[in-house]
Amino acid sequence: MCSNRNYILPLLLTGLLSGCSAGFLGLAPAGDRRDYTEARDLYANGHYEAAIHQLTQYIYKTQNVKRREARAYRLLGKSYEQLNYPDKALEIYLEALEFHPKDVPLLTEAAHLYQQTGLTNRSIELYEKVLALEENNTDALAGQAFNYMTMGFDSKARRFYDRLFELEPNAPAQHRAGYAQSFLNQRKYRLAFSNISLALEKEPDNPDFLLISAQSCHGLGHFDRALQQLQAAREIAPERTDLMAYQALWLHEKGEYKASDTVTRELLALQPDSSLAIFIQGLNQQASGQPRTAQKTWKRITQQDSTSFTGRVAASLTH
Amino acid sequence: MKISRCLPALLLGLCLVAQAKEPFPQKTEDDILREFLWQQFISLPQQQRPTVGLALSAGGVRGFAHVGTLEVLDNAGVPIDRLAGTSMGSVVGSLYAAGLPTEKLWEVGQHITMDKISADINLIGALRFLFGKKLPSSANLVNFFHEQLGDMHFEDLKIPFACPAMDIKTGERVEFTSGPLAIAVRASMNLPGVFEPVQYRHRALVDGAVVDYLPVELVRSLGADYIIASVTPPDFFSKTPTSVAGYINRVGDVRGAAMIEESAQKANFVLVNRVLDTGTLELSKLEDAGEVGVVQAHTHLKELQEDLLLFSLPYVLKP
Repeated sequence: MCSNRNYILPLLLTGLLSGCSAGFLGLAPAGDRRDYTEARDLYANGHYEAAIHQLTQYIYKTQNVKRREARAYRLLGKSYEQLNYPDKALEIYLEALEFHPKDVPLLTEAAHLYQQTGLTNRSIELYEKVLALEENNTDALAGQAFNYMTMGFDSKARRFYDRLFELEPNAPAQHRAGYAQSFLNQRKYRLAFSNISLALEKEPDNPDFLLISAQSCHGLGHFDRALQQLQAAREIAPERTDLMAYQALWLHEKGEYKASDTVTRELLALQPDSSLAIFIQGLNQQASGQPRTAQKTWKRITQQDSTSFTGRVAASLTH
Repeated sequence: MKISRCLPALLLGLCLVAQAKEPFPQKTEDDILREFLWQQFISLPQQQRPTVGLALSAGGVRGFAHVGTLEVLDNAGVPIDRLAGTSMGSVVGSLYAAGLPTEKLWEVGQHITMDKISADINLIGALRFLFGKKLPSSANLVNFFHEQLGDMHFEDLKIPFACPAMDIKTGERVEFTSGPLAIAVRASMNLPGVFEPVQYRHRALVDGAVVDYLPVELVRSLGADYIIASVTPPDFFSKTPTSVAGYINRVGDVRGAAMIEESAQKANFVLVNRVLDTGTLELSKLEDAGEVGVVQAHTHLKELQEDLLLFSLPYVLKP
């Protein structure tokens, strides 16, 4: 009993002393931690404006900027993102990065935000910083791969994907689909198909993945399989007019003009001013031996739309 | 709030007017039609569509941007049936015309050093220049070419290719379309005043950039119907010349810019690669220049495809 007391007293003293010194040195946050916890709950329940209010109080009542917590800033930024104020969110992330320049989650959030808004060069810079701190950070590898693909560096993008899959063979299907897309961009249809098939194993009902699969099959000359995949995508996303347009064009290419025409009518029912649907109708009319009707159809497009590519192609065919 | 923090957020706010980047953005009608017609176009045999030519400008190290251009065009399947290049354009163009894949061209850029162009960039060379009034020779480039391609002739190339040089004795423009490749390319990139003239076919030859900075007419003479020009205009803003050599170089650049402007008007589509702050012989910046080419070509690829498709429409959509 007596020996226990001998241990407890020094332990208590050490704990007290270290707590004080941490506070004195500015290592602990000055705000009430309950404010942060409450803000986190508000965020989790979708009350983003209230979370912003709570977090702003929590962060800015701490006068010593070095004691402002990175995680609070991060949550504040994410709340702004949820409310669709990316410029405000970025301002918060950049402010936080001034005090926490090596905080990987903060860097990653800012890089992702830059990426989403098309500021790819800035996103690349921030992901580079993340990878300099953590060379195997899979979020940064995936982010960098996407950035390079966006800029047209498909081979470079694939090097990041390769590292990502080496580290995380079961990476999310979105990344595998991105990898497939990079092959598709380079017309390497076989590799695009094998990779998108892996993504589809995880998410068989993803219409974007089914479209990539269909495009890969089309590139490989497997037209029936391509149309099957496209039909599967349409069944999952019946409102997607892009899928209908692909289907109508590929059916026309296959010589199934009536079926193609049926799809164009479905497209026009959803999107009555679709120049492309009308254009395909013209193609089907011409291929079915009605060149004059086709000319009239294409002229309709030029009357409503002469500046788009579809309009210019139609104009070129009616001259 | 600091400006450094506000500015990116402000820029982001402005950029948000543009569409946010999604992993798999839904294609527009124009995208879908372009993609469809492009597949039809690139699957046509060469005899059944217009002949496409590519003219690569001079520009020293800046000219390595053409490697990036070629990579993007290659990935997209843009047919390159005829090629002409001046100076660095002739180096890149001839290697591509010989069948080297773009991956290999990037490697060439990583390995090329001054001693692979000239054996006289050393103390002995300097003494020879000072006391013997003898300029360095670019003879090593021939060996470098032989290492890459063997003793290849124009007639052996996979894509018909031509490059210009100038006879310094007569001021005549000399076109190379036949015979040994390496010495012709050496002559085409033999900077006047930097390297001694190349003695070949009873002529004293210097860089073709003096007379034909962008060989659009040359590629047309090879039989191209549609001409894409990849240009690397001089950068007048990054540096102000301060030496005699700098002033002479600037005069050449000004003349080059004027020639680009004149020749580019004769091309069907012009890709402008603005490679900044890069000296003519700054070989350490080759890769950076190449990356500018990727970004530029990728940015304008859709426009190029649309223009080429409209030019070729009677072949793609036969009545």
